[in-house]
Amino acid sequence: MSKTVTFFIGWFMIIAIFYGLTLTEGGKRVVYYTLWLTILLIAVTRSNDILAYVSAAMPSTATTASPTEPGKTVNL
Amino acid sequence: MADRREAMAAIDGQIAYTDAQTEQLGDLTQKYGAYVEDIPTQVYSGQEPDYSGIPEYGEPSPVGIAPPPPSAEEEDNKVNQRKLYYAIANLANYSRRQGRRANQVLGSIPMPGGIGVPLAILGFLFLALIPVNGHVRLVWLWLAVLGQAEVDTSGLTGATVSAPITKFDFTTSPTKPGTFADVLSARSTTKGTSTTTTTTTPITTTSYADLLHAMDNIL
Repeated sequence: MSKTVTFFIGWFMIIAIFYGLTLTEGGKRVVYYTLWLTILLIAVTRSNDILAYVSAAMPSTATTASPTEPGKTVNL
Repeated sequence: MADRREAMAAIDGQIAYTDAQTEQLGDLTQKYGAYVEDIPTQVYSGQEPDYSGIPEYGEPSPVGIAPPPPSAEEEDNKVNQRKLYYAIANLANYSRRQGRRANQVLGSIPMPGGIGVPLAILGFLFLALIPVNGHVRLVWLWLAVLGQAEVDTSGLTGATVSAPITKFDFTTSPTKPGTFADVLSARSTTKGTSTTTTTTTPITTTSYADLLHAMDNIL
């Protein structure tokens, strides 16, 4: 079986299992809190990306030497 | 020793009993919730089937001679089979009951916002926040739409850059600051074909810090 077929079957099975779980009230809660747990794990493990994304939109207080005017500093 | 008609009637009765037990359990569960502990002992009250057409042991029948009466060993086997049947039926009922109870307990847990909220957050994280091969997926999509990236079909290794592009990355610090004109120049040269030559030095990294540097130089 090719790698691509295995890849899509794997994803299809995961989606089918999660969809099947949402058909009952109890299973819906299981999926709901599993998704929140995933968000929490991503927020912890990929905090660098998230912080970079958030801080890119905010004015920076860090300064560095101006590349064009010696002796002058510019905001990063 | 029970005769054949009685034996068959007993088996029918037991099957009907289990069926009725299951139905009754369902009704009680609907009425009283999942906390149904007591299973009714006898709920079979249907009309007695007519067993008169069944030949007795050893009697001639339309299809031949009825089998001889079962031996003691066969009777024991039947009893054991029946016990096993009941054990399985009871286990199935028990499992079903516990499943209903678990479903009810879990179903009473609050689910603020519904299932769409975490799904939307995860979608945003994966599409716009988590970079893969240097770009987030939305940027890869945009680059693919512009024709500056294509999916590598030789394997599941993700997208590859097919032409020089202006890298847009939040995560790296600028290595070579340029002027605003440089940024515009770099963008204009990378917008069209990749063979365009330019007299200015195109920058390889365009980040927010680069733009701030460039604006600082202009102002």
